[in-house]
Amino acid sequence: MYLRKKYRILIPDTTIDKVSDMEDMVDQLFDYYIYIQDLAEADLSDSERLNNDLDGISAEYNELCQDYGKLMQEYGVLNFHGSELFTRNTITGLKLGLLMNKLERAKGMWGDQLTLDYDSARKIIQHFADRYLLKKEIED
Amino acid sequence: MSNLEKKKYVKYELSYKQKQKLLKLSERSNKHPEEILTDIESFFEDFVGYEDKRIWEKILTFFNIRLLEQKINQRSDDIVEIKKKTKLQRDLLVEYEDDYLTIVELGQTLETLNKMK
Repeated sequence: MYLRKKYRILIPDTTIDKVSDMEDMVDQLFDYYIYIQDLAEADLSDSERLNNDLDGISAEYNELCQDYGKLMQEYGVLNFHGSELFTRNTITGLKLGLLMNKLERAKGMWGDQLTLDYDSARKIIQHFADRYLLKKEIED
Repeated sequence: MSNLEKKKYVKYELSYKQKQKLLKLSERSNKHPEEILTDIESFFEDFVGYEDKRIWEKILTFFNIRLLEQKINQRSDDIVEIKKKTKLQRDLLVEYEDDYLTIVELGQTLETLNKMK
């Protein structure tokens, strides 16, 4: 609805003499609109200082981007490795039913004669099934 | 009064693309489009007051500095975030490996026990 409406702004005619491309200027003012209010406190007297500030801050930004790129790469490698291990564990998890059978058989055969903690062993199997087969979030 | 009479204005109509920008800006900043246009008109009122012929160039440099400052803050936040995710991923790798070794060890123990009888 708003796009069909005509929008106009009144620009002092002397501005037209100062600026070669008015359309570009209005474009830029929309792009940088949020910074217009900061102009009230800006020191615009020295071109050289402004350019030096811009160079300095551009260098700082580029450096940060490079650092970020390296960190992303490191994360990417770890994430890939993590996916591989998770998949391996998921495949291993497919045999958990068999493992549970072995546990029950061992308990039946040896009972209390063994020092094996059957409850802990069941918890280990359950944890493995929850994480890798049911993909539940594991909380510490 | 004489000053007002001397000051002349040109009506500038926004292009379609500029209208799109205006409406996006209005949505993002939660301001009515007319309010944004009034701000831009105020900018032009101040702009004619500058004697400096290179003022627009300087203003653009200033805007670029502000934009980069904002991007630096954003990137710094991104770096903190990716470091957190990396640490979490490292911890998970250790856990995945521990889980695997534990289950393999349990499997081997049970296998041995089942074979004994």
